[in-house]
Amino acid sequence: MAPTKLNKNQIILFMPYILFLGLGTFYYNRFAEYIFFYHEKSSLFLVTFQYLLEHLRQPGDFLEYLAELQVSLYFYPILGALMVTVGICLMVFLLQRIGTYLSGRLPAVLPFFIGAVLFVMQIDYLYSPVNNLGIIIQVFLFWLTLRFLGRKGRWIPVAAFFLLYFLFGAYALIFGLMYSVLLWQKKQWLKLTVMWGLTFTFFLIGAEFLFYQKVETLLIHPFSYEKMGRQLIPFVFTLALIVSYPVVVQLTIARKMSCFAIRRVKLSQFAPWVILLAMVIPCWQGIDKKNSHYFYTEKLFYEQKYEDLISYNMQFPSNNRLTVFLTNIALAETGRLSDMLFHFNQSSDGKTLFPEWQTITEVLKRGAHYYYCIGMINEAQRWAYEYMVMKGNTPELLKLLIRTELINGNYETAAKYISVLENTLFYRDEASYFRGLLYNDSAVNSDAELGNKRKRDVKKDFFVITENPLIAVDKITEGDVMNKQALEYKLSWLMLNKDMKGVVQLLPAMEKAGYTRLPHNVEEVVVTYKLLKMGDMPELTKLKIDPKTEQGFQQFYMTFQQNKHNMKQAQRALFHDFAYTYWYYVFLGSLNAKATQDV
Amino acid sequence: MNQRYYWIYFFPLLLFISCTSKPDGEVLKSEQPLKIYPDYSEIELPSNIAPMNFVVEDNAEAYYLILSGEKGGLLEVSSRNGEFCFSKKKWAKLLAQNSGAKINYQIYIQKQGEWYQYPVFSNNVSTQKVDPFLYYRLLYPGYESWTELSIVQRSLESFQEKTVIENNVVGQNCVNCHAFNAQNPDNFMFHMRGNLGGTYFVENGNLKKVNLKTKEMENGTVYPRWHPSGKYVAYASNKVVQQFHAMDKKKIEVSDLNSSLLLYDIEKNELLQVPVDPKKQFMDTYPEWSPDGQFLYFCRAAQIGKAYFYEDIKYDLWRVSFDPESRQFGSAERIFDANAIDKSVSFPRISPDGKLLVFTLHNYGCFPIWHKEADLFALNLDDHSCNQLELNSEFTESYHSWSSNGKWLVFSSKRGDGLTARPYISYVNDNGKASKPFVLPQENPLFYKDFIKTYNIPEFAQSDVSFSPGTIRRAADKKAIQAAWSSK
Repeated sequence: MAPTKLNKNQIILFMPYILFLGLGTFYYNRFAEYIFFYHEKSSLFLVTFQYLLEHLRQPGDFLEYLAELQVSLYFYPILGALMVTVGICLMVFLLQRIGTYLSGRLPAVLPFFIGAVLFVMQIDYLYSPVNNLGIIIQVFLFWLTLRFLGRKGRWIPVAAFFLLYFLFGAYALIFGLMYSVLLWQKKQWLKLTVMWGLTFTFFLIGAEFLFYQKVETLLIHPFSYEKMGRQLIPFVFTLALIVSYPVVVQLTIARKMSCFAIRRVKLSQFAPWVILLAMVIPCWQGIDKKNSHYFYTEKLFYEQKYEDLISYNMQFPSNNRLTVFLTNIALAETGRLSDMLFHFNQSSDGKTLFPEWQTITEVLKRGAHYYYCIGMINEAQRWAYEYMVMKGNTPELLKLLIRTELINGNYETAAKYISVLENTLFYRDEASYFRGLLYNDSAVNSDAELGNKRKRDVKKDFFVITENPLIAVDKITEGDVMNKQALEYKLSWLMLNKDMKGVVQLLPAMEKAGYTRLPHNVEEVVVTYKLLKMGDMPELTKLKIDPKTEQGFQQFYMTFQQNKHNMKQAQRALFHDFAYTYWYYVFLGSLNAKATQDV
Repeated sequence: MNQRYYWIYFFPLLLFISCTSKPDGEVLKSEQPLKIYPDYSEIELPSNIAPMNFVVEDNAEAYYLILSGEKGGLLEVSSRNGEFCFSKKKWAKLLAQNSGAKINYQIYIQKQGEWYQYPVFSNNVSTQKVDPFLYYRLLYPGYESWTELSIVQRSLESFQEKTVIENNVVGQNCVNCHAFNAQNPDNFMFHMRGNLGGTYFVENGNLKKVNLKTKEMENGTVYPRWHPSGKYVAYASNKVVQQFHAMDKKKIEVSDLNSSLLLYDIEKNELLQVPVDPKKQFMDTYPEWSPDGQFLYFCRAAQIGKAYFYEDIKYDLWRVSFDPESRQFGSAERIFDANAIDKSVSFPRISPDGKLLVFTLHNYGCFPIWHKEADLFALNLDDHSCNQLELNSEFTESYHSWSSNGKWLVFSSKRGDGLTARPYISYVNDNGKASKPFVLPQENPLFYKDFIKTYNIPEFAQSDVSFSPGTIRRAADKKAIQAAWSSK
């Protein structure tokens, strides 16, 4: 059947939506997937009535509850991409409907422009989903009011606006201001006065008697500078556009613009296409490769796909300190830290090896995993616990808390954390597995990861000095010669410090720990120490130097000597064969890239 | 109403009633006692306590309880999931009827269609009431950080819980060290740390903010104890260090590097040193007044040097006489030599009749909440005999305080999971013997299984006290009244 004229118009009308939806979902899923990973790993939604009640304690908490529910669905990034795009499409659609209702014409420019700005802002991974959700809900409520409520019915939002404020916090102001504009235009002063009067009274009573929050918090929650990814100007600008939208669409100039046509073709109908086209540039520029790389590494890390993580970072080397930090843990967990340390851009101050204690949540979040790796279960738990206290539960740190309690045999406490995990949407299987380990020491011992960590836990007590993580490594290796992970970290730190004597002195300890061959980087240290006659060599029974390594050093050293007056030339000459060696780091270290950036 | 609607409304009700299981026919007897959670078997109950809801920890098809009083009264409760929750009204009536007598719990369980009868357990209903309110601080048993801290009031006669102070109202400043004078909320104070920090006193129903840190003091004031007259508050002023153990057995070590005792004169707004250690040879902490106000008890250890081993710090119990009129102190005397038994004393708390002093005894140091071995001991102040209370467990017991009638002792115990403290209540008889304690009852008997916050410093109170968020904000925003230092 041939399409009718009406059908053609509808196709033209909806084509930008379809395109926006399709391309938007593709874009987020393909290029900005890390956003969903970051948000999903930063909170933990619980499907309990108690959790809902906890989100009804102050104005705006309910909106946060809804946003957390949305974020929990980001477990599947494609769902996240779809939700973000559908949400924005819906808002654009509603703004168009509102515009049509108020002006009698279909506005195209402003709704798509607002949608485009929100779409682009979401590309920043720090931009919280609560922002778009808050806006969409308020626009939706405004549209409902226009569409379904008559003159008398419009007393409902007037009387219930204070409830909207309670549920959605500062975001309710979007509806409040849009509706106020409408009431003001219609000179319905009584409704206007009652609406704000009731809300103001509710605010005063709430602030005085109900809500244990600062007054500033009650006014702006859940709106915050951090949650908008520090994009204050575009965000406030967008909010201003939305709030003034009912007025703007009725302006004569807006009407004229929407009617402006060349040869009966309205130019405004091309506006969505132009806006969509214009979005390509900020969307392309907005792809955050550095963070994308980091979050992919973190994803592999949480999935314990250490081999994949190492391969990925070898294929795509990173200067990001946190990326290298996680890679080092993956190397240590697979027993290759002192084999492959110099394959990655290490920070000579040790910050890619050890986390420094700071009550900054992002540091706490990652630091726990380092201590877990080297077998300091108590300390790993402390870092994870501090994060939980400051920021609430997150999936990975809650799992770490469960693991540490299981390892320590604190089953009652582990059971409490497992109960929390059981009430999530997507982590129930893991909770069920953990529950199976409760009160069963042999089951914990049999678990490959937990059993190994239990064996590796600190054998001799000492006080942790977080300002100097090396002391902890020293203490562990003194108390337990079999803790290879701690030993590898110690060796790595000595290598980074170019302390060859220190490394060589650890060779007997390595033999005791069960090493049957020298890890590559350590062997390079030993060869250098030996061939440059820097000191006495300890007597070794199992660990032997490979003659090929000695030949390699001689080749390296000869080339280096030949080019040492021109370091850049030396670098060029040695890079191909020796870039990942200790020798390159020691002799050409100043030219090596350093990991200096954080996420 | 049409007859068929009656069916629609009442059929499900009939169905529900008919499904409520009750032992009938032959009942098999089991000799094994049932495990219930919380363990409320064979305890002494205050006659005004809220229902002791509990759950049977045994999987079965149905459960049935007959709760009968020696002096009369009967409650019959059936359950599908093992949870027994009592009607507040019926419970209160049963306790009132059986004051000074026993109530007996007879539980039946249905397994594979057969009903089993289990051995009866009982509670003694004391004639002594407990103070109707309990105050405590709820927080995460964490290390350095906090976000949500609140001082909470819980009615012991019901399950009603009310916030007294929540730190979010003042921008997440740390709220700590609340203290009543003899369970009387008219004399109440708490500390707040941070940018709105200060010591807040209730004065005529309002909050007064005072800065108790003067330039003469090296450290702030902690561990407040009201003088019975309400005119003074004794404090310790401590320099604290927190260290973290690498091994699981202990998590945190909190030690004082130095400490001394201070007296705050509320009327004169003056702080003065309690002159018991002019040469600074000791670390004095944990002040406690005798009920007549004539003595100040405290814990004392030798001053440590720069290099010290934390396990060598042991505190003894001391006291010094005090004349409230002249603010004069006598000379200090040792009351309990914990060092002699290689132990350390903290948290002395004297019963309102002045006969018993209960303290926490642990291996070393002055912060027992992280010491698994910490137990409560009672010292008879007449003959100085000391005995370990029978309420202790293999986990930490500490933070105890007396009810106003001196018959009930509330304390924090970590016996549940070793990490989170819960308030336990025990009856202490005239001979200083404590009954088996019971954990503060909750409406949901499984509440403690999932709750991950800890109960800190539980204190009984005779009446209600709370502040509206607005009152707290206004008090916090005010400039603190600066206390003056007095050398006399």
